[in-house]
Amino acid sequence: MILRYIYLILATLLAISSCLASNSNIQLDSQLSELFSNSTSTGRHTNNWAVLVCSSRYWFNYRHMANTLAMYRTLKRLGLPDSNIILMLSDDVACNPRNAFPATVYANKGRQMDLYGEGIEVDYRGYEVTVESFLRLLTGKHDPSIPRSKRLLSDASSNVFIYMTGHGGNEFLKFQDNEEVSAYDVADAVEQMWEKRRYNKLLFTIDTCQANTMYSKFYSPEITSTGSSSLGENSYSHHNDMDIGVAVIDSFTHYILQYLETLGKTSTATLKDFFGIYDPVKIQSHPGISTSLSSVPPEEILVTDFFGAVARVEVSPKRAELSPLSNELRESKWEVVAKPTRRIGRKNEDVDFEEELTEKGQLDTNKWQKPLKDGKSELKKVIGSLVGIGAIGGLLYAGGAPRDKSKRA
Amino acid sequence: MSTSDPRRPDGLSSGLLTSMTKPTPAEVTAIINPSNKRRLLITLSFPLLFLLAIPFWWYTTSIERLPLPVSRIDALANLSIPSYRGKILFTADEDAYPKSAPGRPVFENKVICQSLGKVVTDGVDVIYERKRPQKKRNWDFIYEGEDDPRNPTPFRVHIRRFQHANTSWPLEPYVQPPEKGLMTSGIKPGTLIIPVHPDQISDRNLKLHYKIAMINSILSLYPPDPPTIPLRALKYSPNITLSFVLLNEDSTEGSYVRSWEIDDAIQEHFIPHLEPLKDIFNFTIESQILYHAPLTFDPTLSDAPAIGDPQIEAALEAAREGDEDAEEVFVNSERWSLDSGSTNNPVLRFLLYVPKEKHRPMKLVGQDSPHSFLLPQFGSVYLLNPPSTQPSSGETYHLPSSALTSSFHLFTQHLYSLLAIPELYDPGKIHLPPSSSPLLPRSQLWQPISSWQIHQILESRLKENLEESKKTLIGIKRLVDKIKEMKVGKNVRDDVSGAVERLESISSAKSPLENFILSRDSVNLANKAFFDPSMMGLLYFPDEHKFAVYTPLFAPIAVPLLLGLIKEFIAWKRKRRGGSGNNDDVTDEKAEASIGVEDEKISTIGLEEESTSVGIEPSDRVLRSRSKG
Repeated sequence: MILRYIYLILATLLAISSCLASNSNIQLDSQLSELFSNSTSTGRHTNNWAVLVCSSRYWFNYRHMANTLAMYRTLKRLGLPDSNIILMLSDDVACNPRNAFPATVYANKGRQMDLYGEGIEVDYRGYEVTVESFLRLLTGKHDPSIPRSKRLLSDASSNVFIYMTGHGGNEFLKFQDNEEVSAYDVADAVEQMWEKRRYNKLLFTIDTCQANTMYSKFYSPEITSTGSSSLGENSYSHHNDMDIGVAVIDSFTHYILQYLETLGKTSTATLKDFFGIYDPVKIQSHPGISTSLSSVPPEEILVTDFFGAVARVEVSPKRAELSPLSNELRESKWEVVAKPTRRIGRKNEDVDFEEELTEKGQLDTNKWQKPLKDGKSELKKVIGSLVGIGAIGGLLYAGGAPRDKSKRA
Repeated sequence: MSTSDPRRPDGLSSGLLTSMTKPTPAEVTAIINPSNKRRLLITLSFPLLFLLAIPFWWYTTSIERLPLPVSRIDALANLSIPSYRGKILFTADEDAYPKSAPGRPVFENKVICQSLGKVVTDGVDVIYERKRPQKKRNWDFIYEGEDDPRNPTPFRVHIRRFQHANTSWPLEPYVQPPEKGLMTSGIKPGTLIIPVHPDQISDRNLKLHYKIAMINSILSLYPPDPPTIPLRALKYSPNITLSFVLLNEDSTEGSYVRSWEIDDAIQEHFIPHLEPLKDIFNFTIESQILYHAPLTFDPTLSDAPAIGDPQIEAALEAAREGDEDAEEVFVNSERWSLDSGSTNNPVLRFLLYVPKEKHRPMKLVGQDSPHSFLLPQFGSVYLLNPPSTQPSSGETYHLPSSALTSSFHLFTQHLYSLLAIPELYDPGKIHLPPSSSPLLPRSQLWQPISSWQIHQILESRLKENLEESKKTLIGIKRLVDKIKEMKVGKNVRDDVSGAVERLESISSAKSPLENFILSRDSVNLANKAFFDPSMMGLLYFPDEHKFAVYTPLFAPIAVPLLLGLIKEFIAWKRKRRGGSGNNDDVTDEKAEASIGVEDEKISTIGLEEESTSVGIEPSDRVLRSRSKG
């Protein structure tokens, strides 16, 4: 017991000394961070948001769903949490009766990776994907009843990435064969975002026919935009999957994703590198880039400033914790609950069963004999009752016999 | 030019007519067609209907744009934060000063305080003057008996002669926490105490020590400018939800926490801090236990043979250290439901993570393996490892509130960071208070928020809200100017003018709390106006779209209407030219001409209307046309 206390004292002494060493650094950091805290132009931001829009419906637009979902996967791989991604997916091709591979969406020919597997959170689905809901999402002018997950809760320290795909034309993008959003609408919505300081920087990416016309009307600051094809050009799909039977991805998105796949969370690649991969021959159209509205040139913006989470976690130093010797911790004891509940208890038979099941990958034969055991026991019961009946019969017979005798007597 | 039958004096049925005489085709036409004047009226009624409908169409399709108080919004740009001059009540224990020597004049306690107060204010002024940019002292001392009894000042300084004070220099000022129990000092909580040991009173430099201690502590507690809100803190929102979650990594493997005394822990550690904030924030608290909270990454095993246990390092040092970045992905928000999601208010999550047995003890990478980290604007995480002393044979645990002390101590600190509440303790300036009883050791837990901190919060949040409201209002004004299709309804206008009104009524004469409430309501209304769904009720279209909508509707109707009018006009012209030799009345001419044209035009279709048009025959016009012929 005494030894343990000595050990604790030694440990705290060590901790304190190392704390003192790191102290000055921490203070400097906090001062620096406060120095830059309220300015938005220095590129400091605390969170990233992404709005991914697939605006077309129906089975033959499979590739648009796949574009969006592949982008979603990439963002998540780079660390953007689901709560900061607003995914608008207008048709559920995964559950389309024409889908030969139900509940899956693939963005490549070999069907290597299912994009529709676990952990997909579609915020706006099916008929919810309308021009109105998209513009309301950007501007934040929602009905009060709209839940948190359907809102873009960005602020002045957020970088926002908008990705759109679908069928478009000169200065418009079609939503679900039903309505269109025009470049003016989007520009006005973004201006409203800027006025309410809903973004620090904005990256607008669009993959559709004549895509570059869609960002031509922007007039708000700090926007970098890029599109797949210039005015009068189509944006083509990349390749088909013969088993799925439709095109699975668009060229522009395919090459973007191919590039992003090479990046990690700590990558220092800039948007200039990102734009550098555009090859009109491969993409079969002329991708456009517009950086005139942004005050920061693309070579100074990291790709991870938009794609990926912001690494800013503050670890509490040990000195902020209560020292193990302090009065408060003296009587802190965990109480062991003696009797575990049956359902979630340890070493429960059911748990054992499940563990064995998962570990061995095969069924424990003993468990499956249980019904048979039950059958045996029933047989026993039958035998028992038969014996009982027999015994009663015997008793009656035995009781009857003396009477007979007495009668006889 | 055809005319009606002159012999027919009044309207008769055509059947009767045919039986009497055989009419000419012209006569038949005249009979079955309505009179010329009537025809003109019918023709004109269509364009007239259109003209009448225009105001209605205009009213229903125009965008309501009520005027905003633009000039008042522009005037807000010059609005400055009101400077509030606080009063600090300065008192001292009777025997906190050395007794004057025999033969020297004896001064009243208050007089000594006044002279000391003068020294302190002069010292503070000098410090502020040297600062770049220069600051102004924004408080004054008041002394015993000068306080307004109805509205006592919340700021107090007291020099306390204290038996259990530290006997060494420098003095260690502290803020009086609320006292419980029988042994109370009678000092109001929140008072800044300069404790002095009886042995120290005879010191020659006592006055200097008092001065240094008071200047340091008051500078720390009452800064000249409100503290800025750092990025990690939440933006101001009147309603905040706190969600306490205990996460078992995997309870199926046993050795997990089944229950915790969360009520007691919150009561003990959080309520004292939340209670004083009741004017500023409205807290909602929820708690839950999760039994299955798997990690998305594999914790790395560190080589620590000295301890024996495989030490598992779960999350890693922040990215600035260049290490891996598992901490950001530590919170697996997609799989873990960390709050009920029942509100749209910002949620702060306090996560107590109990790793599964294979992962124990889980620690963060870094010097001396800290236990917790803070996620800006999100919440905080504490890694809680079950005690290694107990046999880890897979019991389930119950956490009494005493076992939660260490984690809640950190959660309290994180709450301060996340809400931008200034810390009370300032190394070298403000110290921990002594324990309430000399028998107990000094408590390391943070004491409840004092009035000094509340004042700072009010000031900084007032500034934040003021700026936010101003920016939002100016933004609304600019947007309404820029986007012509934006609707400005009554709600929006009322909200905007309400927000402006509240901002305008912020003044130095009001108390900081009143000003804060005004700013809070103002920013609330301004946001409500900005995010009003009606401002985007209709999708707006470029002009081409409008034409595209209206053309298919109106083109088919417009063609016969316009053609009819043109025909009438041409006929009238022709008539004018033809009849210019006559001396007839011009208006008559016009009417006749148009009737003539109408006759020709409608005669083809007029036959269909036979049954209805029979027998309508005003006689005077017929006579006139007869005279003309």
